[in-house]
Amino acid sequence: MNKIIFFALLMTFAAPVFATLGGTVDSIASDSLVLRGKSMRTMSHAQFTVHEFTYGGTRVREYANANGIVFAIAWDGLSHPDLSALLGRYYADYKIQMRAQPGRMKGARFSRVNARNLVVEHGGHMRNLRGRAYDQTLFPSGVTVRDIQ
Amino acid sequence: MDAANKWNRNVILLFIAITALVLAVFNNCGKGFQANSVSGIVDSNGTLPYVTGVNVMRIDVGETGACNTDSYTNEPCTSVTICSPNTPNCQTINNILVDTGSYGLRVFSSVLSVPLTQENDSSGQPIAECAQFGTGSDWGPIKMAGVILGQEQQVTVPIQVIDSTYAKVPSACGSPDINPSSAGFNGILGVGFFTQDCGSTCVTTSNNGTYYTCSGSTCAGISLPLSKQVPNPIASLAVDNNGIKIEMPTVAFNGAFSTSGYLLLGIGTQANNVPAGTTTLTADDTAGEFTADLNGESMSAFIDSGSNGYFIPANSNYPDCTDSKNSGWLCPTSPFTTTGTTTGLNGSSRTFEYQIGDADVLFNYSVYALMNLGGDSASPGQSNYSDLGMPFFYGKTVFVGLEHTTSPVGTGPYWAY
Repeated sequence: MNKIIFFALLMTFAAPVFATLGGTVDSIASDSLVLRGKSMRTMSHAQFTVHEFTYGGTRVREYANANGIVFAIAWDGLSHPDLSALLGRYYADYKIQMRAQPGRMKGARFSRVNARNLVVEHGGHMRNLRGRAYDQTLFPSGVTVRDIQ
Repeated sequence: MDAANKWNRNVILLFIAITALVLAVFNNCGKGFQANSVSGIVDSNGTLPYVTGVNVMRIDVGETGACNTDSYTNEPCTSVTICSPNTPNCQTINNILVDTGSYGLRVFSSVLSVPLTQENDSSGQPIAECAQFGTGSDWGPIKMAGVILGQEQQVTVPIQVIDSTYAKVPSACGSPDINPSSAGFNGILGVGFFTQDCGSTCVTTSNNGTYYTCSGSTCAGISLPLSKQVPNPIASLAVDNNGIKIEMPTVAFNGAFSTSGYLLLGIGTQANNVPAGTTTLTADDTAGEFTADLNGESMSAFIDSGSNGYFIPANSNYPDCTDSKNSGWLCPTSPFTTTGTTTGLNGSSRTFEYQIGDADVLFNYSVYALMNLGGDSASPGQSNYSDLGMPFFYGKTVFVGLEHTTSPVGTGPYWAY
């Protein structure tokens, strides 16, 4: 089990910096406006940095590698975020795959969509929904899906 | 369906049963399944004593009773009566999903025939909602409805009318359910322990992803007072309003075509809903979760009749199915019965036995009630979690205590079993 060690925890209340999956953290993307996020904080791990913001009862965490490329996004809280804002260039593939798949599995409270390198997972229950989206080809070496929490 | 068709259908079902039996016996060779499964395939197994009272609602699983041909594996169905508010103009709607993992009543527009009253915001614009679930969402306007649960008195409450053609679905709402046949239900009765579907966050923030106001086809997020949010209708009852009791019979290892149990309104309010021998496990009042220890791992958990399996993190003992048509379900090669522990915020614990079977095999049985269906919860979000779905309810009596209420076994939110 790959254990990533916290070596720094920085708290900042500056203007939030968001990015889309596959984009860079300094490309302040439209999702910041769409989600109207606030209370940003940044956590640095050995191989990646996590940018966390909250909006309307939901917490979103964006995982960036050493080059500042966002390789994963995870969320939990009141609502699933607007993926048209967070998936960036992956969104078109996601929409195509969603249309190609048969409807959501009746009764299942977890779903996984694979679209080329993109994986999108939804789960949880009303008042505490959870999910994540990631591209494993962008993961820093040694980082696994289990680290995306 | 006329009698001849029904007879034909029964012959087909019998054929399927025999085929499933043969498949089951064949498939179980070397799979480590219990050998006592044969009687469970062809009929429902456990039955409960008959229960009467104004607070009694039936729960059915399978194409029986309150379910219909849209119903699916491990879907607990009930019936709800909906009326034009404060009138005797009512209709009874079946195939309503009993859901302890959500809060509030939602019904497809296409099955509603009685007129309901649109709920508006303070400037007279209609209110709509995107109700989000673990997977999928429901979109549509909020309307005032008279609701009758069991034989209780009619209460007038906001409900969601599910209609994906209403105004324009906000992009944040994803791909909401479009009709009963693809959703598998005519509506959802959210009977979890929260009083509203959203709660205090929607009172103070407008970008809550839940409530909207629409001008023409354009909808924008709004904040909404608790009194205008969609409530768990049980909280609105004059009596029997502190929670529910769900009682389901046992289901054999290889499933049952159908099974039936009860949803009783109230906890300790009538002779038929008094807890006995239960342990009360409180949950946190934000996420509505407690802790479960399963497979040597401790994690957040919730009990959700609206989930049709045990959703737990896949691991080497419980791997994902490799057959792509069962992707997301669990296919252990050696199913075995094991013990899990649930622990409330109050420190109380209760153990339960569970089994996860090979979904590739289980789905071949063509039965509706499966006590050992497992899916992957894939540890998304903040940390690993488990979702104790409908199989958890088989063979148990489970109480769900509403927030801000008390009963002889505690103060909500809690589960007791």
